[in-house]
Amino acid sequence: MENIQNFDRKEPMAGKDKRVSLATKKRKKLIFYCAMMALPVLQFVFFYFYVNFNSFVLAFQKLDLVGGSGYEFAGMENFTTIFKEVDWGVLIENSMLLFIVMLAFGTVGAVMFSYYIYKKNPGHSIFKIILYSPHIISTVVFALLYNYFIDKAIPAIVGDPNMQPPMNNMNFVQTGTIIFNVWVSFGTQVLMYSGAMSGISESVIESGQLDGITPMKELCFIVLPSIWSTFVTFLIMRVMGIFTEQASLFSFYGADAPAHVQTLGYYLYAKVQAGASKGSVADYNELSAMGMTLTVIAVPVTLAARYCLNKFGPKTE
Amino acid sequence: MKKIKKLSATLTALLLVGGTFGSMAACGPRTDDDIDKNKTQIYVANYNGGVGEKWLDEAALRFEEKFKDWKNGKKTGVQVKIRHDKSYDGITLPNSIQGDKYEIYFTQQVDYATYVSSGYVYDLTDLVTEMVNADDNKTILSKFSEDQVSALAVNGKYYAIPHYELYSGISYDAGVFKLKNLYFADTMDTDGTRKFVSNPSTKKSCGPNGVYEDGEGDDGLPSSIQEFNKLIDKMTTSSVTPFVWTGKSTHYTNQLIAAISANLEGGAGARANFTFDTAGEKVDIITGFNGDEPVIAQQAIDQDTGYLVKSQAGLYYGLSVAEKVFSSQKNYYVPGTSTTFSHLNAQETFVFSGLDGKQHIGMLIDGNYWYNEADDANIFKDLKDWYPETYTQKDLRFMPLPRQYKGTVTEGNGKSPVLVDSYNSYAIVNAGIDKDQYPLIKEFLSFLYSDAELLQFTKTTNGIVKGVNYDFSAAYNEVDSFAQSVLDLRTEAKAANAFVKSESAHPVYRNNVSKFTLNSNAEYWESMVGGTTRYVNLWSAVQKHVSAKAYFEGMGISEATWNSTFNK
Repeated sequence: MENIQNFDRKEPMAGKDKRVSLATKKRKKLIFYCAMMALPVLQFVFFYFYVNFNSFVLAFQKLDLVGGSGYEFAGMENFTTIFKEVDWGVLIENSMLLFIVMLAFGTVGAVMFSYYIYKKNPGHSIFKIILYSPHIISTVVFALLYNYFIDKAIPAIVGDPNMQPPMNNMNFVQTGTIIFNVWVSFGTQVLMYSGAMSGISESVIESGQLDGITPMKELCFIVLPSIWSTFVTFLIMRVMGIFTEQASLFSFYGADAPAHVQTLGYYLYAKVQAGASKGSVADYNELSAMGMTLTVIAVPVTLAARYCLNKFGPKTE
Repeated sequence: MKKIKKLSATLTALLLVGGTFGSMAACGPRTDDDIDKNKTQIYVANYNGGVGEKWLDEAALRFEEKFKDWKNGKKTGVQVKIRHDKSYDGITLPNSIQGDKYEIYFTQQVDYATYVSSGYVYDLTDLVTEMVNADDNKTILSKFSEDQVSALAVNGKYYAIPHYELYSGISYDAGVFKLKNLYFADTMDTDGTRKFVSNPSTKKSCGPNGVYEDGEGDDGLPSSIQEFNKLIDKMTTSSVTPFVWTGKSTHYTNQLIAAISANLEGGAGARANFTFDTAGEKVDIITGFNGDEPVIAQQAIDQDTGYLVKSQAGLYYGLSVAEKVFSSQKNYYVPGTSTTFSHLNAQETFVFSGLDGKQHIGMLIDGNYWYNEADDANIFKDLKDWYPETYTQKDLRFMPLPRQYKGTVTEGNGKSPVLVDSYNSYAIVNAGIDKDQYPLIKEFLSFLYSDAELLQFTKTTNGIVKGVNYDFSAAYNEVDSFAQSVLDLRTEAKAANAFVKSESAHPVYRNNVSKFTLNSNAEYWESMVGGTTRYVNLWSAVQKHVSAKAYFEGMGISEATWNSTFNK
């Protein structure tokens, strides 16, 4: 009886315990979820939503610098100013040149190198390290090393210590910075492409080889379609970056990069970074207007590029 | 098992929280651990480039001693918590000031109008206008120049106090000048300039100020652009490399142009760059070119003709000297133009030139603050340690520059030097301070701007002048010869109303600071050559075979642009 009583008393308690523990578990899970998500959400709200919203507002405002009364509505004045004052021709030309060279040599080169590594050709491991090393070291440090190499080692190699240091020779600056950018772009791409290539079924490769496929055809007709989604991702990133790519110019020259090599990305970055010397916080309004204008162009271009690449690209099935 | 899980979860959470707050704490003052809870703290941030840290550390100790009995509730005494950091420059400060715990900032390159309009800075009107420091018996406002009163008043309120003065320019090695006979003699040459001295005892010319100073001061230095160019040629034939500068920051080359231009423009012309008004005084304006020869007319600049500031003949001649320097590798230290060659490398190369078989270098392009930077970097200590017998040959001085385009200055016909302070250095107070702290902040700032402390500042910083009016003559004998050469120029310029600060209340200036400030890396120096090709400085343009004339024309502002864009 006592046992039954005990059992009767315990049974509902045990059920309640179970329910309590389930609720507690749910609550704990929710707390854990909230704790884990809080930081990313906050980061999104502050660093994406707030920043972009603030830029949007700034683009239509102007600081009252004479009366000291703060921001006031400026309508489209900032947009008019940037169209009059910014040297669009050179900035667009350099941005497009960088985009095309990076596409032709950076992306294509990365696929070729990845294929070389994937096929485990001689020296593939050391090759991988050489290509990835720029990403192990920070870009600023790597730019400094590259700078030293170009400015100090080349005059020594050619035996002319009085040679104008190439990275401050206006006829070489563009070539020098583009070579650097192509080189540092290989690391991540090679890693991702060779990773994607390692997932290709061996049987598909073998069947191609049985049919006597050449390495170039294997790359074009088997490997590239198999890694197409990775390839598209990088291409879209490249298109998205047309207007923001600053070509590491700030790492080389700070706010002093020669005008004939400046890109749109560098121009915006240098103006904001260099603040009151090159520009001023007061110029943020015009820079926001410039950023908005570029976004209006970049969004449809990126979406169109994605659509075309997905629609007309090779299909693996 | 559960306990272990719980423990590990707690530890992980603690690590995360600790990591987060640890990194956040790293952003705060470095010395929070030694806060004295029995005292009231003031938090001060100091941009420590150029004039360093010692002046503030020592002044803070004196203030703490003076205010050891200051009462604030249960607390007695004051503790000044200082953070010295180059990140506290006025350019990047707006990015952090609103959330920053520091209350007072000593900084430079402050875009004053933007700071005020953006609400970053506290209203200091009462501190500036009222007598706070009884010992000093003066208001801070009484130490402002007329230019400062007009430039800093926004609707009758003051939001900043000038901190220090720095000047762009050229320094020269008088030891090399003496050794290689690079001074101009008192005798005339056939080209209308002077001959060079044949030995150190030859009588020198009267220099740009037209006053003989027993071979000292500016005696023997080039008094015209023609003589300056002649000096560069003489150096190259005497195995002296005329110039060195930092290739890492090519904008430093603009300091050469800025300093030469200002001296040719004169006080009124140089001031008009910020005020757009020469107060009726006529200045030299280039109206066109006859071949490569500029056609000069004299004209006053005012509100309606403000665009003429960039057509001043001085600017063209400054560019022409720079073009000459940049267009031949014989005129500069070639390895120094590498982007890896910093300002400290340039200073070291200049200081060590001529020693131990190194090539002689005549001049360094850098502001007067370079000397303190080199000292902080132990360059002079190394010089003494490594060359104990020969270092005394070094006689480094800040260079008085030419005042006319051609010929030579004769006795009694010279002009005073023009010095431009374009570093916009101020002491400001964070708008977000706790209002209860303000009385103490007032005491601290008024203490620092007392005559005694201003003088002490000049002594401690080896001749750097605080940006307000005070008598620094007592410091003269306590600073070294380089600092004395700077103080001499500053005294001469100030006496002739030719000392100019790049600040103005003019609406065009306030609305377009980035285009008219004379910082060496400002947009002011950009040129749209031929109306199509933009260059950020003459150094890059000359390499593309752009002439000083084309660059000058590309820098100009048209009347139409002035009316439509600036003077609206």
